[in-house]
Amino acid sequence: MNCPLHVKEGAEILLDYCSQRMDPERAVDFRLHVADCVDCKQVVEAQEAVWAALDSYEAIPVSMDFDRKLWAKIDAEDAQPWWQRAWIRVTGGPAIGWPNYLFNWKPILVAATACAALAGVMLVTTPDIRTPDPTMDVQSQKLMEKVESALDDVDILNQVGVIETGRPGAI
Amino acid sequence: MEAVGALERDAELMLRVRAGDTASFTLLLEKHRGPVVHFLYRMLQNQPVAEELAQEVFLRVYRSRESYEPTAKFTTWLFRIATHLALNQIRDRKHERNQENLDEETSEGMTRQVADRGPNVEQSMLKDARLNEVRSAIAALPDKQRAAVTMHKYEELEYSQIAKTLECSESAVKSLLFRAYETLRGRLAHLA
Repeated sequence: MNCPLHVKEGAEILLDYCSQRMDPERAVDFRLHVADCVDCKQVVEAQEAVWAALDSYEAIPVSMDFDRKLWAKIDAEDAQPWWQRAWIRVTGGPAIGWPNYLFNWKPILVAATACAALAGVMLVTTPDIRTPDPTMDVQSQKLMEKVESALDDVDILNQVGVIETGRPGAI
Repeated sequence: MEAVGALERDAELMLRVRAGDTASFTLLLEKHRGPVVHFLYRMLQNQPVAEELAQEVFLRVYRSRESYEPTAKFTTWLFRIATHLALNQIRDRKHERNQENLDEETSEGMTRQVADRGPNVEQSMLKDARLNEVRSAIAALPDKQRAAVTMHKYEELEYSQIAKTLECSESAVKSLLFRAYETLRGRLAHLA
């Protein structure tokens, strides 16, 4: 057997052996290897010590009223109006330790944000009446140019006396 | 892949909960209440918070009953919720946690254990000192490593389950565990 400390899957081998998840055949091979390998022996002994130390960290008994408190929470949630239950489903409920009145403000805050967003969208999409229509602007510009040009023509004709006499060159 | 071929018992119970059977939820609660509280306690090292979070875990399970689909093992789903809540709690309350709380909790634990089972004061003190070292060593691990070790060592979850719970690959879980145990070997090997 190759030394687990020098192969890619070494971590897994050591982990499986020390947590007793290794299949019996591989465990026998590994034990034979450990007997000859000083480095592996050292790691395995240290890991077994850690395993034993972790065993001393025993679980604490669960409080007697755990279930009662849980059912009280479930009943309280079932008694809430539908929109609040839906809101809880979306958000996952209040953070631990949050006072409920703070949590109950959340829907109002969100509704206000939604209204503000809607108002914003309406402002952007609704055409502004104060802004002149660009096509109208071009048309009126052309009209103005025509009027100006006509006035210029009248000026020139006045200068040469066409308008008064009706004949070119007559003064 | 741990997809549920033949429907596991817990998934069956959960499907009954989905159909409106509250008694099945009580059965699930009885079976998993301890492991979830113990996992959260080892993650957070604070019993009242661990129990409050465990209640939130079961509340979420109950709340999700209508949309439940047995696509993975029930315990994977359960510990995924628990891990998510624990990591959030650690993140949110990091600034509030201080060594005084830990010491206070430890001394409470010591008192309880001396009264419960110490054959004599000296042995009890040694045992408590040892327990304190283990607790401190676990508490000092990075959050994800601590979650992986707790699920691997105490809850005996498979690598695939831990991977799904922590939302990473199996090889990442093995690497997390190896690094965590390496750190613990450095801190706890002298206790042998």
